[in-house]
Amino acid sequence: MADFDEVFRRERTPMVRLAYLMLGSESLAEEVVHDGFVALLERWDRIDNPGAYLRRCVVNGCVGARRRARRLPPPAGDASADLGAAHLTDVLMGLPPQRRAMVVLRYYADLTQEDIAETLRLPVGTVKSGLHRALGELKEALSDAR
Amino acid sequence: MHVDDMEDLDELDVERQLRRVLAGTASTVSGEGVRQEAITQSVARRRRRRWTVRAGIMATGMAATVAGLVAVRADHSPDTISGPSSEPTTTAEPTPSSPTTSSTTSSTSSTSTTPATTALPEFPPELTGLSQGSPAWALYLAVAPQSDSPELLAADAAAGDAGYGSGTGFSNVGCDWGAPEALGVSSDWYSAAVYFETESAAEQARSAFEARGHPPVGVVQVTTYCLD
Repeated sequence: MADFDEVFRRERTPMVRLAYLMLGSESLAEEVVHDGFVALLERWDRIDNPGAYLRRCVVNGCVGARRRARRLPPPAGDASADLGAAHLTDVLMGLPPQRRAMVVLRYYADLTQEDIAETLRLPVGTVKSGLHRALGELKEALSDAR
Repeated sequence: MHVDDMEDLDELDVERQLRRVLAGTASTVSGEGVRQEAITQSVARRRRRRWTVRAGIMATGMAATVAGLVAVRADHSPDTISGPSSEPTTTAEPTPSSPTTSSTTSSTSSTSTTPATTALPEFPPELTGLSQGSPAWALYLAVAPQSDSPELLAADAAAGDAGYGSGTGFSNVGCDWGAPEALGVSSDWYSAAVYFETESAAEQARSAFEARGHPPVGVVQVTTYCLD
């Protein structure tokens, strides 16, 4: 199994980016990922799949952090973001935390629906319907923006 | 992507644009603020804190064991009694995900006449996937007016030890409707809580925490908010 240093080097940036997309705050994303790595290191000897465990910690941490902070501002977006991209980001950040997590895990982290279900500890059917609803909302919001 | 391009959007278009926007937005952060040294230090601090708590529990347990042995000796002839093993009998702490590992004891006890160690209550699975406006039974491990208070941190560590939450941290008590009134605290206070589907599961978790020296504040039926 990989050692902790290797997992840290490999997962730090992807996990912070994942958290940032869910939270809209870089500092909060780093805080959640820090806590995830702490949980991982504490249980290192008992964990078979460090990457999956860390991802679950980070996603759960993001959902919890959203509860603490209630509503956070959306991510600033990249410098080249145009009106459509900015609007898409706004709509994404307006989704409930769990549904937003599904979208980010599917379309940013490229997880399968089964892996998303495992990460969020939800039935696969719930993930399927959640993603379908989220896409519908995003499509509708983008169409309304015309 | 321009808004004009969104006419006749189909699902594949949305997915494609979504991937592009997410990748572009994510690329603006690097995560360099997360430091490995800080993680190592946090783990060391938490271990020290847990050691302090466990040392206190062990001292209490040893006192109880001594008292128990004295009582047993009063009821039995001395030659039928074995003293405690030179190595302490340990009880593995169960986790919600691995109930089969619970309540196992090491084989270091000396003879069958040694007073048996009582198995600690198991931690039941928590309710995951909290959603806006849904009912739940919340077990409050600690409540405090400040989010960095020692009791919240200790409760969070205890919940982590039990396998709960994966570092979900604290939330305002007011996010759980019904909790401020039941607990008698302001809705602005912070809580460390674990959520369950049934009252019996919450009560079982309460017993499990109590048995490990972390008496919770209370169990409350709540409706969860601040999730939208």
